[in-house]
Formats: sequence, C-alpha cells, structure tokens
Amino acid sequence: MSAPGPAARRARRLAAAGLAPLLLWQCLFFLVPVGILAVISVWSMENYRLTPDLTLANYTAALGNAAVWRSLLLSVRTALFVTVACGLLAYPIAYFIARKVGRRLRLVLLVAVVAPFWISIVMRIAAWRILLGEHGVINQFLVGTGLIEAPLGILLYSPLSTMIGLVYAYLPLYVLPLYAAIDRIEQSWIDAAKDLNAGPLRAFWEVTLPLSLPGLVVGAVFCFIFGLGEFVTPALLGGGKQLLLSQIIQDQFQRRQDWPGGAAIAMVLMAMVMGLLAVSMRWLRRASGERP
Amino acid sequence: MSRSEGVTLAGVVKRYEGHLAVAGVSLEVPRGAFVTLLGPSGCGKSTLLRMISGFAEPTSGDIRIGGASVVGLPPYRRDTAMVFQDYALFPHRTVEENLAFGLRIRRMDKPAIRARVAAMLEMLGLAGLGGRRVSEISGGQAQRVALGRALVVEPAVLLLDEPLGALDLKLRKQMQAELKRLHRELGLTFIAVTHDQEEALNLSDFIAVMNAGRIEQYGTPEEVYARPATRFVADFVGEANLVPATVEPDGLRLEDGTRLPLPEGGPGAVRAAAGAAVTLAVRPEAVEVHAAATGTRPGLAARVEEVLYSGAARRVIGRTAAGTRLTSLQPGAAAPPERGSLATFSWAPAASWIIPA
Repeated sequence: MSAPGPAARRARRLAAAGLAPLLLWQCLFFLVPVGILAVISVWSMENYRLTPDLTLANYTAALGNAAVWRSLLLSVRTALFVTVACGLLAYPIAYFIARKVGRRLRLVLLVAVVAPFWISIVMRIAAWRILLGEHGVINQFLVGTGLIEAPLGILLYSPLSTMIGLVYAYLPLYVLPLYAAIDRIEQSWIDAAKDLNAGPLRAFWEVTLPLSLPGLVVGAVFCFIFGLGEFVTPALLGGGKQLLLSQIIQDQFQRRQDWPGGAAIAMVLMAMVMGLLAVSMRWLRRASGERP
Repeated sequence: MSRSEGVTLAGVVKRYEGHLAVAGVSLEVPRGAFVTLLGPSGCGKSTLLRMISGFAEPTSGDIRIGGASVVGLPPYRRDTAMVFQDYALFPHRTVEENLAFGLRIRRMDKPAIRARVAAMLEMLGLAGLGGRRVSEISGGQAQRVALGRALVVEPAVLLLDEPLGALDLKLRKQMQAELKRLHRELGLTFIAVTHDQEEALNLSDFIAVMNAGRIEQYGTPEEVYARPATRFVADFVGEANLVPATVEPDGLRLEDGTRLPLPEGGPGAVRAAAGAAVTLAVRPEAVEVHAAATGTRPGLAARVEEVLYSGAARRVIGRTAAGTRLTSLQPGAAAPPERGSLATFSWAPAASWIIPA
C-alpha cells in the first residue's frame, strides 16, 4: 500500500475542515448538555442545593412514580397517534408529488411542504390558537353559518387541539422521507408487475408499498421520537390538563426545583429514544440490502 | 405449447403531440415465430412493442393477438409478457420470488409454482441462485431472470425490448444462442426489438426493418440481407454499394455510360420501365478490384482512396469520377491496387439487384 498522495491528503483535510463546525456544534449544544444532564441525574438535592454525590435514588424515584408512568403512557399514546395520522396523511401527499406531477410543480410543492419550517413553531402554534379558539376563526364560521349554536370549547386547550397541532407540525417530517423513497421507485418495476397481470391495486401492494417502506419507517421514527419529547405544542394548545412526559420534566426542574429528579426522567426518555433509533437503523440497513 | 398465438398489426398509427411515432404499420407475426423489429433509435420500434404489450394505445389501427383485438385492454389483461430493456427485476424480492411473481398473480397453487420456478431456474442455468437477492447476481444472470420471469407464465406472446443490449459482446453471443434454443424448445411467439442487425439476422425467423415509423421491409433474414428492398435497408442491414443507374431496353446504363445486363429479380426490377432512374445495389463482398488495364469484366472505373487490411479480408474503397463511393471486401490474397491509382470495380451481374432510386 502506498501512502495517500498529496491530493488525497488535501481532500481529507478539506473534508475534516468542512465537518469541523458541525462536530463543534454537536459537541457544544448536544453532547455537553447531555453530559451535564447525566451527571446531575446521579447527584442529589440537599437544602435546595445541588450536591455532587453518586446516587441512583433519582432513578428509582422516577421509575417508582405513578405520575411519571401515566405521563409516559400518555406521551407514547400521543406520539403513536400522531405517527399513524401523519403517515396516513403523508403517503398520498408524497405519492402525488413523486409520481403524479411534472418537474416544475414538484419543486413548488416540495418547497411548500418545507416552508412552515421557516417560521418559528411558537408563531405557528399561536396561529392555531387564533383558528381554534372559542372566538376563533373556525368557531365564528360555524356559528355564523348556523351549523352550531354555541362555540365549540373542545377545539382549543384539549387533547384534540394538541393532536391537531402535532399532526400539523410533523407532517412535513413524514412527507420528505416518504417522497424520497417513492421517488426512487422505477416506473419499469411497476410496469413489470402490471405486465405480469397485476392490476393497479395489486401492483401498488406488491411493488410500490414495499419499496416505500424505508420512507415509511424513517418518517415514523421522526414523528414518534419528536412526538415523545414534544413540549411546546401541548403546552400552548393542550391547556395543561394532561401532562406529557416533557411537561413532567419541566415541572421537576422549575416548580419543584428538583434538578436531579428531572434529569433522571430526561435520561430515561433519552435512553428510550436511543434504543428506538438503534433498532430502526438496524432494520433500515437490513431492508436496504446491507449485510449485517 | 399450444397457447402460443400469432399477432396481427393492421394500419397501426401512433401520434404523440403532433409527432408521428408510428406511421401506419401492418404486420403479420405467425404463431410460434421469432420476429425482430430492427431499426435505428427513434424509428418507432419500441413504441410498437409498447402498443402490443398495452403500455401505449394506438391512435388508430388494430392489434390482434390470436385473432382477438386487444386495443383498449390494459397491460394486465393482455396475455403478453415483456423482457424489459433494463430487466426491471423487483429489487425487494429474491430471484425465486421474481420468477414466481406472475404465477402468484395468476393464483397458481404453491406446490405448482415451486415446481415451475425450479424447472425454469434449471432451464436457464440458474439452479442454486434462487435465494439470492437480485442485487447479488451478475448482469448476465439478471438477464436470464428477466427472461425467466416472463417465460414462466407461458404467455401467448413474449416481447423482448433490446434484450441483449446491456450485455458485453461475449455474453451477448452466448445469450443469442440461448434465446434461440429457448424459442425452439418452448415454441412461443417471440417479438423482439433491436437496433443490432447482427442480432436480428442471427435470431429471427422474420425481420421487419423499420425507419421513420414505417416498415421498410419484412422478410426472412436471408431475404432482407440478400435483397434489401430500399436504400435504407441496404444501408442499415450490412453494407451496400449504391450506384445510380438508368434502365434501358436492353439493360442498365450506369452513371459513366457503362452498360450492364439488367439483373433479374430484385424489388425494384418489377417497376423498372425503360428510362426509369433506379439504384443498382451490390454487397462489398461481391465486388472485385482490378488494375484498370487488366479488368476482364465490365465495371466502374474509380480512383482508389483507401486500402484497409484486416487479416481475414482486404477492404478497398474507391470513388468514381461522378463521386459514387465504391467498396470492395475480398479475402486479401491478390496484390492490392495502389492507393491513388485508377482501378476497375466489377461484380457478377447476378450478385447485384435493383432498388428504387
């Protein structure tokens, strides 16, 4: 083996230089905070003061707390619902963009899918409050047309409004990976199925759907993981009647001033997310044909 | 297999946004025959194949398979099976599952499917590869799987779109022999599309030479090669010397006044009334070159422009005073003429034929 030439060395240095800001960013704003959180989670509070010792009491307390389990269950249920709803909505959208429109319209639609990300989530959720409120746009329209007599209270500050807000927020996250997967499906594969006498539905079931599976899984993982840790939307639209896990964590930190307790719950949530990611990545790698 | 059917095309026209892709094609494909649609890219041959398979509908005209019109039927209601140019193997399925696909769609029971698939793997020399993913087999093997996936359903007509186009030369020769064997053993009607004249000559019972949306000639490989009907066919299938000529009562007069007997037969001979302008065609391998003084047969005088020696043969290219290019291809034994010298290019009249000017 000969030593890499100067060109190859330069290219490698360039790649390293290009990646450096990203790595630095990840270190500063992800690894370091998580490290601090992990350390705090094994400390204790004495006289409202963080005390550096080594204890697992925070974890046993968190796992023994019925409220934590209730909110975890609620978080999982919410995330599941949002994932399924987003998947059902995203598939026709992604399929339409990938297979049914011309190049120019496709670009416009993709930009339209991504556009909401350019506006802060808080602003967008505030817009939903204007739409869903008791004197909001939807209620005024329904009352104005005489469809209902009194404004619907259930539209805002309810599990329903949380779900609406979450589905709205995560739909693009599902559409994009699905679009990428469906776009990669060759027309000739679908043609081959039809040529072998599979009708349109059968061809979809046998070829298009299985080949969109990677996109379906990636989108589901995105939605579920983000949904599991979601804080802003339920806080602003849910009205605080139901506490999701993220709100319990916030409660521990702020109201109870129990940083180690909050950190322990946060670490549990993160372990779940990491486990989920690991499993789905392994599945994806196998599905895309890589040998283990 | 008695399920095989003939295919009839009657006045088939396909228009795409004002562009005439197929400009009126009528063709009779006998049942059990191997027919090739041969032509340059854009001649309409692939469009024709897509119309037979149902992926495109003719603008007008009729397509019949086994006597019944299939116009308006979607691909999944036609008893045709296609070998796609890029094979189009299902990437998420194994070799075996690809082969079984059409049989599963046809609701054959599982043991029967297993038996048919195993027999097809055996027939294609793919035994032992059934469990592989299609990304794990070679190009030649993928080609066989594509062929097997279409053959295993025993279609009334097998359609092949540039079936050997993606293979390297050696593999292509091998697969030509294989295709021919499969056609013989299965007795199915094959319709193939290719731009490779050698492939067409090797494989086919009949060749339809296409140009600009029309069939220029339809005949056996021997007919198409030995007696091309038009300038296009003469040029596209093999090589031809094309010499402008005028028909006279007692023979032909070439551009420089040389008189030759009128060759018998040939597609242009029928209409060749005296005074008509025609083209005399002759293959390079029938043309001999002699130094100008020693010529014994009447021929055309031409200045030798190039002498190319390729071992088995010697190619001599000349140009007449009127500018007609002449090529001779002869086993390279005799002493070649000098480049730049004047030579006589001659041929036996029976080796030439007349086509429309």
